Amino acid sequence: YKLIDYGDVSYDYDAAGFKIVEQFRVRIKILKDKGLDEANIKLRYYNHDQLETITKLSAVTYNLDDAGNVVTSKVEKSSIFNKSLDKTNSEVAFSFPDVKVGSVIEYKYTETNRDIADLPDWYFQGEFPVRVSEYRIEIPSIFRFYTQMLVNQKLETKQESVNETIPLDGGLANFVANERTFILRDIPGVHDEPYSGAEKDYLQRVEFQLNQIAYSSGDVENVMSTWPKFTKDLLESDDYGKQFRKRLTNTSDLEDSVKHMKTDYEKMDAIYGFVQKNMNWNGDENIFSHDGIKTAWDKKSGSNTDINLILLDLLRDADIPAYPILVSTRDNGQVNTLYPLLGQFNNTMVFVNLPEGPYILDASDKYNPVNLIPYDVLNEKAFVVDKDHGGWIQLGDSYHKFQNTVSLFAEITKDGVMKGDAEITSYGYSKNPRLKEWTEDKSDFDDYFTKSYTGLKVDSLEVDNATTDTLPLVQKVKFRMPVNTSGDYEYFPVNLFQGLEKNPFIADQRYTDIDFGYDQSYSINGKIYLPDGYTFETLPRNIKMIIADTSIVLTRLMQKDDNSLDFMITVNFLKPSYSASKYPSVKEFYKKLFDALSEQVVIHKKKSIS
Amino acid sequence: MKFLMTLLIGMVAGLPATLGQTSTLNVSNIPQELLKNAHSVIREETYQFNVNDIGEAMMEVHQVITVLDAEGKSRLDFVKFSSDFQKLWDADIRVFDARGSLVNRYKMKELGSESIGEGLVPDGKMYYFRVTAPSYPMTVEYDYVVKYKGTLSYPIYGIQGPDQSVQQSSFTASVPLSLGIRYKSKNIHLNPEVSSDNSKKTYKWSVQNIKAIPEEEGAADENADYPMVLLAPNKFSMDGYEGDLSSWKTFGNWYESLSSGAHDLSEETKATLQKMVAGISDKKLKVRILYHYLQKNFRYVNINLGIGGYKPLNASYVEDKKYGDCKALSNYMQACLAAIGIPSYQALVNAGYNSQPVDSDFPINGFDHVILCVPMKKDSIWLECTSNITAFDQLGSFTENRYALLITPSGGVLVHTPKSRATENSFSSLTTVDLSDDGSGSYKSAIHISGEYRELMIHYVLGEDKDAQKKFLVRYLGYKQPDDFLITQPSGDDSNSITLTASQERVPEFMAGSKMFLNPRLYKIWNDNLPRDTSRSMPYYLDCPFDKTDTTLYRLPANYTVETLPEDRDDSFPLGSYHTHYVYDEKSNTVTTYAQLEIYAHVIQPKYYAAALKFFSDVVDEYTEKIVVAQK
Repeated sequence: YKLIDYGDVSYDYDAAGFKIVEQFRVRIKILKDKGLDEANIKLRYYNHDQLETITKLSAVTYNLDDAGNVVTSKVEKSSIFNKSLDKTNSEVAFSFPDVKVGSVIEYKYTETNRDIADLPDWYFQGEFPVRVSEYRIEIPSIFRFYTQMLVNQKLETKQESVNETIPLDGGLANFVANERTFILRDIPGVHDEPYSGAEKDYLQRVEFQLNQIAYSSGDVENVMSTWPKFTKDLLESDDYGKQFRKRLTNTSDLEDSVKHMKTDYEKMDAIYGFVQKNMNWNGDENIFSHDGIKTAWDKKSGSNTDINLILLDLLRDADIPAYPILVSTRDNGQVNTLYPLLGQFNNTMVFVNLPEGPYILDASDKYNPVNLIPYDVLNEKAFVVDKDHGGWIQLGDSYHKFQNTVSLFAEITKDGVMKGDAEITSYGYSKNPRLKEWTEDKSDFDDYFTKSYTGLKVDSLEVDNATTDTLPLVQKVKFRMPVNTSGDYEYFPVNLFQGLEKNPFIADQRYTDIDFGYDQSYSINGKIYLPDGYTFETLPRNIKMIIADTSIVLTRLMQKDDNSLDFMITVNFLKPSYSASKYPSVKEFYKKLFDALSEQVVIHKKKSIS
Repeated sequence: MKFLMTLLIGMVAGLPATLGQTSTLNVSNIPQELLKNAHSVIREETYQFNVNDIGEAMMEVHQVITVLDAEGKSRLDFVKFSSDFQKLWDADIRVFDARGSLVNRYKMKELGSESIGEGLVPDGKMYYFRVTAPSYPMTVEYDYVVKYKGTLSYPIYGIQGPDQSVQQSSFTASVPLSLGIRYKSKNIHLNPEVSSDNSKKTYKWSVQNIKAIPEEEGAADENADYPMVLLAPNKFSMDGYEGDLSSWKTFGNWYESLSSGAHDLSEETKATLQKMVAGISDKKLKVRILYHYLQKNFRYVNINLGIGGYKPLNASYVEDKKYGDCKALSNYMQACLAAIGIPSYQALVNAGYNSQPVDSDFPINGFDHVILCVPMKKDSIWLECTSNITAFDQLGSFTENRYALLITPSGGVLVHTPKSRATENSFSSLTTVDLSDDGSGSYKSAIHISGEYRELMIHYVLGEDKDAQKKFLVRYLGYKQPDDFLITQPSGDDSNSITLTASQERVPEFMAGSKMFLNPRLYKIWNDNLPRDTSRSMPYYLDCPFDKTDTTLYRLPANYTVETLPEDRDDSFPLGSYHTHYVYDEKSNTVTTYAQLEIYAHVIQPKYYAAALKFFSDVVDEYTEKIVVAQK
């Protein structure tokens, strides 16, 4: 539990120029055993060229003794370790002494930063609840920052002008500084929640961007770029725009085959497939191509941007209207379209504008089909880097969804086993992860079917359309599963193979929005034959359940015959996201939904007619 | 004859590596039998381990590995740990396609690196490089050099890993005559070819065409069940501290010498400790009091610094900071006990429920943890000094059932830590459910816990916020999602019980018409799936032996009665038993269900695995049976 989180930032000037002086103070109360680890502090800083330093560190533990007096224990200098982590990062580490449950620990330190544009953003919120989080900044008026406050609690702010004097160019310069204070109180801690977006999309914070520097001479330097300038700079960059047109070797086979294709779509598909197959993503996320696409092509491996710039190059060779787009993936968080800042993007993809429609391609993903917007950027915004066609586009797709359909034929044998065939068809966004699993980890693929059911065994499994991009993945399963018995009753589940087995939303509280990314659709159609001499107990009811805003619908139909059951269950999720405020109703509906899905069909032996 | 074979294999493996000729790397050159069960194949491999003197050695490694499919891709991760004692000196990685043509090459400077170690001070550096596969199959070649500046731990010759076959591989160790070397092969019979000149003796182990052993889930830690040769020095030196590892006794001497002078408690502290146990005569009680004092006031922080990986921090330091690592805390506790006149010994041990104990006949530094042993006339007291919650005199399967090296004034003595007992890890729940005729209900459970379950409950359940508790109940214990619940702990400091009260909109698993199908109990007594291996060659490790009992009382609504009760079970296999019993009492209209699941030992030997699989599947199966209650 954080009692105080305090930051104070001002600018200072010395022989080496302006610097930012950041003073931090943190006070934490340890409430339980698990919190003891919070008394081990690691402060990471960037010390390349001595850009940042940490000084004036002091840390104290407070305890109450038996008489109720406060006992303080200091962290000694000798117990503070400064270590270098890699070429550019270092870390100051120490542990508080004398810490037990109930202790209060407090540390202060000063961090200086030579990069005057790097006014730190302030996160009021984190993993632990905070009582008071206060941030005070004092900025010389020559530096003009954009400020963006992203808070949903009541923020207290103060603003004042103060006069300051600094030594400047041998003389003294008087200037006005703006002092601003931001205070937030009683901030809840945030934990991992299922289907939540990137951390930075929801943590409460205040952000700063250096916009202009107004010199005393009256000149104003625009530090912040504009989108057109941003585009121009990128296009002229050696690591980006200059990489667009390179001669790649050994592509003549591709060129020959593309030459004979009639439509641009066919060509795009062929080139995309070619790059997907030949290039391997090395795991790096980078918006630049540092070693150049030629090197990447020769090594057959590169960052996501390397790979997609190769794709761009080959598409343009074939005269296909293709443009690079800067994107920020789902894990990296949403982009802010106001500020032309590179740092918010983490990938380059390719946008192809054909008459049939726009296509978004990421050739570093080996399993995404050409006509599907990569899940990572679905419903996000992308910036097209082009002199004439540049600007923002929204990556939406209302047609493709995450879809599984199941058709099932089974019989219950006399010795109590459900035996049969199921055909599971995975469309759209459901195909990609399954295809990956099938290609890379075949021996565990059964898990999709067996994991949630006791005793279910897959006798044979066949997968179709693994190599055809545009067709859904068809999984044909022969299975066996013992049915459950109690006395004369036997019962079995019918919510099989759909991939809807576990309710993810059991928590009572939720802080973040729910973000599925796509619409979802699940359905199962089935027929199950009973053994001779058995009949149905009351069947689960035919129902249609709809959530209040009609975005989730469950339909269940059951039709019995003398010795067989026809059933159909469909669940449609028609919204890709829900705001956190809607959580109570979503949670309530999910509970009913999964209750309904888990209902079993009961059969029993016919009473013999005497 | 045997000698000849070894010699022959040795000669083949000794041929110079033929890297230039790509054809030899062609995947089609792998013998068919080596492809079976394999995701990767070691094509050729040579280790050259040269001991220069007591404190320095060097190892050169050359490996050519073919990765057959994506499931073997972990072999493409080149990860090497580098510390002051063992430094990665040089590395070169080459990548070949299926035909054996060179595709890529990477040098040491292209490796990523980062400091590692959870502690305040890094233990060392991790160098890593992930080779991206152009397509499978493909081949990688690793060449690297490791310099040893401390010689307590010699390298292990790990011959093959899971799902991996070996075409040819050899390990050569060359040591000065004066030092000698000790070795032991495990899971394979392999003798070295020995030669010598006037200064050095050379040992060479070679293998050829070894078939892949399929990976078995849940097996021992660090591939301990796969073929390997252990190597160990007689005389060694770490940071100038020389020692003798030729016997457990001498190794103990060395370790003890490192901690000399570390018992420097102030007279004031000693007096305080003596006051804490004043007037108490029972030795065990005295130890318990000090142990609880340690648990309440001290905490575990990992600090390693050079020889600090072996040498404990002084007791006065720990006293001052109120923290330390396993060595420091054990040393501190030892000093405290000494202050009140109770002798105790630190004990080196290899920790982890599935890590392998050292071999008693092969002294080696196979330890990674320190605990404390207080000798008693009968049943010594064992103390885990790094945990704030472990019960007194309980080690848990983390360090039980294995050899530990007691560090006594007269040297090291290898002893057994206690055997794990099921009764020490118990979970016993008594629940009363009040069921309404619409299927809703409320219940109250009194749960008594000990050992691992106690730590689990206290650590992961009690102190957590409500949603985390709920997640635990539903996901871990298998309760249905309660609508409202409360977990409390009855007052008392060292309590071993918790109380759960809850209400649920729907208690039965499902209803059909007017019938309710009730679960045998409200949670799953066993909620785990063993890997479905049909045949196993390696033991399977459960977390610990345990004893779980459950009694659940369903108070039925007045207008309902029982139609079917599940049959009583009485299952057992050599390592465990499961009993259930169901009773309907007409007078009070209640159903009482009783279940006991006991597992006597947590290591399931291969010969019992099939039986274990059936046993646990029967336990899971039992839960699918239902109590059918119907309207009267």
